[in-house]
Amino acid sequence: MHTMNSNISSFKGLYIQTAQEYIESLKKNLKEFLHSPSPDTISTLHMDAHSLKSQSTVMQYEKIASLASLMETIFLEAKEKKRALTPHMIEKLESASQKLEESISALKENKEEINLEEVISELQSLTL
Amino acid sequence: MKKLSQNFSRLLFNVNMKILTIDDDRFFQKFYQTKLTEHGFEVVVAKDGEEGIALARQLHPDLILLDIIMPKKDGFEVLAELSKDETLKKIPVIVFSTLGQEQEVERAKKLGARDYINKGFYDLPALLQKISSYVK
Repeated sequence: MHTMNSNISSFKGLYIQTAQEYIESLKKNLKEFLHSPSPDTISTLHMDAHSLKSQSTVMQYEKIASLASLMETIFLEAKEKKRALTPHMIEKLESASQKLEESISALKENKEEINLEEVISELQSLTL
Repeated sequence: MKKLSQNFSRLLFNVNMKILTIDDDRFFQKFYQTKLTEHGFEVVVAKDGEEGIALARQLHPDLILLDIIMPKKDGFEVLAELSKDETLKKIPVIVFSTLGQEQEVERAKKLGARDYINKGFYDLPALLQKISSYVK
């Protein structure tokens, strides 16, 4: 059972709100990139994943932080032109975003983070 | 005990001490503004690098907590600009990021940052100690 430091638990509501915003932005920009790839879109995707990872780390939501960190790495590799984001990868990243959304919904209902091992494993196979 | 700690903090730190945080993330803006205000600091928040530079010029804070990854102007660009200004370069800057890689930390220090804190690992006493060591 995840027990949170009482010093940070008061920020849970704010975390959920901002995390949902970042996940919406990830989903929107992944769709956008699929139809109209651009460096600006990748940059936004990278920043959104980075921010979500950071907040989740502070709030001790480790599963969400791990998945966001992987997404951040993939977007950074794309931003630095070390890799291309293929439609297959976009599909996997969209699935990952969906799982993040489900995990945040669980937290909102005062449940634990959902199990993200499978989607983390899938994304790990995509990293360089 | 909490009140005693807060009063001690207020004695330890000048209650008029002004900290400028430059961070685009709404969660961290609120989180660290709340935590530092509880310990007697006056905290002003800038939501991006451009606003941060403008507020630094206007307010001459005692210390700047600076994020790195931000839109418009990132933390490295902010550091470069602060270092070109004779007055602003005297303001101690602590880079406050979750990047953490050695080359990023070194790059920030070469651009004038005094220190680096990984904001992902919440350690308020460590943060307060670093702040106190740079603010006279």
